[in-house]
Amino acid sequence: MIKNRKWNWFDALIILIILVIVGAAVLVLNKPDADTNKTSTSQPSNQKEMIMTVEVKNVTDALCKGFAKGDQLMALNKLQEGTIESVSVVNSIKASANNNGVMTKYEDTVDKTAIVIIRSKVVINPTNPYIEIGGQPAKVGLNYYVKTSKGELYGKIKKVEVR
Amino acid sequence: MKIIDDKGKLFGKLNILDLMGICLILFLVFLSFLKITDNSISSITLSEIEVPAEMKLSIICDKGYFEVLKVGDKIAEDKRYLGDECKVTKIEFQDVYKTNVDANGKAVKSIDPTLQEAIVTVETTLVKKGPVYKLGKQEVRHGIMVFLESSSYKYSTKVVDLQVQ
Repeated sequence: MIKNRKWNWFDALIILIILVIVGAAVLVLNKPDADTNKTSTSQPSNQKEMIMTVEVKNVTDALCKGFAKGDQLMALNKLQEGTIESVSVVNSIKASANNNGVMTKYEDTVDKTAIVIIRSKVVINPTNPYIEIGGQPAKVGLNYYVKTSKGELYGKIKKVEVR
Repeated sequence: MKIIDDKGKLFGKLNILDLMGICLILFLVFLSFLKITDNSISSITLSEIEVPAEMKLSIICDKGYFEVLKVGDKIAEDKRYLGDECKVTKIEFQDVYKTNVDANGKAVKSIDPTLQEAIVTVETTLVKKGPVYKLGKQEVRHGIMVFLESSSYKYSTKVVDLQVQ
């Protein structure tokens, strides 16, 4: 037998307050920064082409065969803006000390370095320094996953050029 | 006496639902507090003073990584610039030296031809909170690692000089 329970106005008020606070918290915590590339509409912005060079050390020719010109970048199980322009594999430049203890440069013919050039359209916003390609920040000095549906290499961004 | 009685009250006084509601409210208030104070309780307990400063940062990289580094670059952090007054004012490039031993076991200092060091002078405004100087969210002092970030680079650097006015 179900008892005829009395409606508790205090509990209802608490539930209402909780719902309002949860809603407000979700809105506040997920609010995008006002100056992000994707959300800013009030700031002047324009789309330009960026050429990015990624240097990947300790590779072999075979590791780089999964890439071809025109391959689209991938991230989060989705294809992203940005394509592979070229992948070249060169001898790594290293230095070691000779008999006199002086360091000299030499080319390592076994340990190779891949130079990956990526072309992508990016939104340049004068008030926002953040630019990303393939879902990752595109800044010299940062590590970068060159990731397509057929290959993946982990290197460092060596050069960025906005045209 | 039951801890929770037949009416769902704790020790017969406080409704368990009310208690859960109060705990949830306190938790959300705490989260909001952390969000507002940038995850730092000290940011509201200590006063902040803005001080002009000049820093010298050392970056050691393979050759070829400094093409984008230019005098006048505005300093950024994540998705914002730190202000028009925060900029690169001077860049000096230096060789990187290493010590090796020759065939006789004698230590020889020589230039590493693959590396390059950039000493970057940055004029900026630091925020002083208690004894701590901060550049954006990063603590700054001699010897500490900080990121030097602009729209086209983010270098890992070490502070080699800090002059606070």
